Amino acid sequence: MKRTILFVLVALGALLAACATPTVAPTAAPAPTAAPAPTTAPAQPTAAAAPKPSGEPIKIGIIAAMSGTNAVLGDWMKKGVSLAVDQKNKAGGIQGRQIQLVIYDDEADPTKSVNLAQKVATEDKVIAVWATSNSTSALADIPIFAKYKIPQFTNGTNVDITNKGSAFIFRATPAGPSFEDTLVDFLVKQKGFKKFAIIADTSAYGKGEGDYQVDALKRNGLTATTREAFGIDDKDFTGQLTKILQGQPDVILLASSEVASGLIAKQARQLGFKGQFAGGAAIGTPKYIETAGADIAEGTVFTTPWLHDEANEMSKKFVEAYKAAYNETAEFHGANTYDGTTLLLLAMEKANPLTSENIAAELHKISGFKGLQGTFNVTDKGETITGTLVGIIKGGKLTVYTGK
Amino acid sequence: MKNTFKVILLGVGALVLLVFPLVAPNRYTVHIVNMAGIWILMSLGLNLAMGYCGQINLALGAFWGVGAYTAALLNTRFGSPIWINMPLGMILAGITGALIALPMLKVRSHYLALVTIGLAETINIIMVNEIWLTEGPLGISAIEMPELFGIPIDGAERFFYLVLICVVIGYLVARQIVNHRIGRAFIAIRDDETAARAMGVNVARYQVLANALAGVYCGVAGVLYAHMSTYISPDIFEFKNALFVLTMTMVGGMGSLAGSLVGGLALPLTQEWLRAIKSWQLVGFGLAIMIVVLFMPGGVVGLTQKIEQAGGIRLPWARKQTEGKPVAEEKLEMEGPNVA
Amino acid sequence: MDSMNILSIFIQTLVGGIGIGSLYALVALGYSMIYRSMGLVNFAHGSIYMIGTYFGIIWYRGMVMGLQVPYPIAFVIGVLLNAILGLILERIFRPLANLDLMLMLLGTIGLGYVLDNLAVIIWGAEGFAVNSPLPNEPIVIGGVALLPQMLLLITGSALLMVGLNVFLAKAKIGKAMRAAAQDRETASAMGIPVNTTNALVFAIGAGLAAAAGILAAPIVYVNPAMSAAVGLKGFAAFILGGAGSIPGAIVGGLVFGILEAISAGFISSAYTKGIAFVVMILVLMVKPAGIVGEVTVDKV
Repeated sequence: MKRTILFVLVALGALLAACATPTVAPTAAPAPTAAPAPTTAPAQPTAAAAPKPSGEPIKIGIIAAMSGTNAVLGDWMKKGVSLAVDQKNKAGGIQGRQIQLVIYDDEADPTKSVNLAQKVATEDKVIAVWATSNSTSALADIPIFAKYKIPQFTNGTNVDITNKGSAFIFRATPAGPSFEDTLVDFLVKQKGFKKFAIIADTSAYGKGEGDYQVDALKRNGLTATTREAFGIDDKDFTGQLTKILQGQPDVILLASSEVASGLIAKQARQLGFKGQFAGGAAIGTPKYIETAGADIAEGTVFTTPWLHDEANEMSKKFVEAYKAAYNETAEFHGANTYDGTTLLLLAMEKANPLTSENIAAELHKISGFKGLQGTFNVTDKGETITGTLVGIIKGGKLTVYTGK
Repeated sequence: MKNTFKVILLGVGALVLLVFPLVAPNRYTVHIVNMAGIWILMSLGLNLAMGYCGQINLALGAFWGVGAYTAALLNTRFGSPIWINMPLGMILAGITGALIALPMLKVRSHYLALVTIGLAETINIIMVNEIWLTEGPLGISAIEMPELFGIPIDGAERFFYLVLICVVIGYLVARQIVNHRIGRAFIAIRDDETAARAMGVNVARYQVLANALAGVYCGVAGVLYAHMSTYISPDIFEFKNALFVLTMTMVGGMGSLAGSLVGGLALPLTQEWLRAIKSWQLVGFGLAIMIVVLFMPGGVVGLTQKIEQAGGIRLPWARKQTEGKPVAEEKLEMEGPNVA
Repeated sequence: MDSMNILSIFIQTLVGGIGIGSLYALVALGYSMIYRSMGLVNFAHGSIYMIGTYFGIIWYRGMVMGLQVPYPIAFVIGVLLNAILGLILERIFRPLANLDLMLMLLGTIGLGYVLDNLAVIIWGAEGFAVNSPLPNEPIVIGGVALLPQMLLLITGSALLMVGLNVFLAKAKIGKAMRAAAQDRETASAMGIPVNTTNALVFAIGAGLAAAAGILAAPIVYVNPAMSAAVGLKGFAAFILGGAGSIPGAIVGGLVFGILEAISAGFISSAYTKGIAFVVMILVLMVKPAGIVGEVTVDKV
């Protein structure tokens, strides 16, 4: 027992020493302040953002997957948010104060995400946060940010995210059903397709999108000929696809990640499927085209909240700025995180005094705001926008569907 | 003189633990330590099954998940409080442990490693697919923070004491077990199964018991986790977290309960502390594991023993010889060809 | 639905299973070779497979100094580079081979961690799709669509397996390897350099993994995370067939791949992996040393 306690003591000593060391926030933004965090009273949720002397930077957190399979989503989020924040900083910041990003990798693991949510709320004392691009991690973080009354933005599409009764969650992009309803309505009403098969992975995203597709079909008086599932690590879909093809569907609805959807499209064609591929957000990405191969992806119909449109001045500016900053073509995750951050900055301008709680209240008042994805009207539950547009892959490119 | 020293140490240790939440720089720190407490409980369970009884077990994530799901479902569907969920979670996770032990009676070493991985994966797939029961991949939200004797355990600081109590009880119980007849039987089986059988030890019964105990410890950890984070989903209970517990136990010292305490605290804290270094952090983490394996196979606890033996000194926390040396120090009769 | 149709559907599903099963088999062979000669269960083998895939594909995609290399040459370069990596890694693994299984497990997992994250640092986490060097149009025989790349994977794997067996049976060094695997001490006494043969075994294991990865790359997708899934299934195949047995690894890989495809196509696609694992556990309950049986000669 005593020996053990000694071990505990040593370990505890190491821990306290570690905590006393000011940690340098990993961020591309201006140098972080190394002030030791003041002790907070226990068992009392403290308002995370007490007014600070002006001049000190305001912190916004980003928690997302920066490594592993979902690293792309985190990377896009980082880029979209950073772009909006950098522009604001160049324009003088908020009330004369610069904005600083603190960025953390949760590896798409909800336990790690919860740790980090505690960290940004109580150690970094961020005023608002992006958390996360992954639905289960976003859900895991909701109770924490609700407790500390910190506005939490996500671009996860699962409907459940805004059904948890938090007044501090905001979804900067349409919810899943907006994607699938528009898609299925278009395919049924304009294209006249009747036989649909669904293939969905068993992750929260895939399962959710698959369910919305079923619902959308039902509203149109249809049921899927087959609905097949697969694990996110699977690479060979012959079993599922062979079964799907027996039902002779006109359309295969894809409900999974960019890569898995691309592989499925490729394998389905090779197994002799001649019909239409269609899917929601993940399909409207260059990654899907790359994975399926341009010839197989050709003609795939998708729905997306945003597609670059030369005629739209705002869109044009965004694409140029994104290209200048990252030397990459912008896609919709960059656009929705940029949009969300713009909304957040708008609310921060209005919040007086500048506290997390006031920012959330100001966010809820936003209506009729024009962003890249369309017009934003923030609801009580934290939805900000509905409506997606139909796109089609043409000549290996994502294009807006124009009626031909 | 020496005893006074020990009493003072014990007192200081207890005091540090008791005031820790009050002096911690922020709630995040407390949360991380709470999480470490949960890992320690799982590590204690693993140590009983693997360190003492020699049963390789990579299904911890599943036991943990069974405990967490029991608490989450009972609480969200029937509003049942933690003091009801806790024993039920322990029982169900314990039964899962015992069931997983059944193939173990037939299958050995690396075959067993695979069987436990396979069973854990299968349980995870059930969590994902049996939506009527588990609510599927999206998980269960809005689990209540517990309330005990009218006191809401609603923040990391109060939760710390709950975790602390569980860890202290868990440790003391484990200590009793390993010093008891059961523990001696475990060690006998680990060291030489045939000899143990010849001595009249009911090997199968103890092997099932060891894994049931691992299940019970993980069940406690699961119930605590569900009530602490208020949200659970199947991806939390995947294989990677079983590996994490295995790693922390081996770093601390397999076959030593103190090893679980050391590893369970040190690993999660180091990981948080090194967070800023990103990918290189993980490379370093991998290298650190290899260094532990190659140069201190008994873990931190084994290392202190070596120092002790080498220098002929007796460190204040030296262990009684009866407690059994870490398994790592003696090669088990594995059916490998290299047993020269 | 007529019976012909059902038959072709079954064969179609089977072909998919054999394809992915060949991949598992080649990876399992690496596990097996290393196990039978060194007694090492190498949990980093999935990572070695991933690195080997990159070693070949980076040339094929022109990622090295913009040099675009034809697929067969990229294949050879990748296999050789990974074999060299295997030679180097054997030095690191050697001390692990004499440890207890748990330490072996942890040590090799630690090394896998290092390799995976180095890959992320060098090549990024995102990964890429790889174009097949062969036509994408399938060859259709009796209602069964055969994808050229899948045929290449299956025949390539089969040739490698036959080649390996011939090598072990006929070549002098191959015989030496077998001898060393069977009885280390006698082999040493006979003047066979056991450490050198072990290093060669490791190189062959790594080379086979690279071959599997490069052959499968146009069907799957290449990213550092690919190590975990295939590593685990390759390990399952290695155990299922019987640890250390060369035919066992092949049988185990094919059985696991076919099991997955059949359960996806005919039982329940949501439970594919679960069914494969449960069947595997049942097999091990009946035959605790795998289908073909464990091959280690120094049995205690």
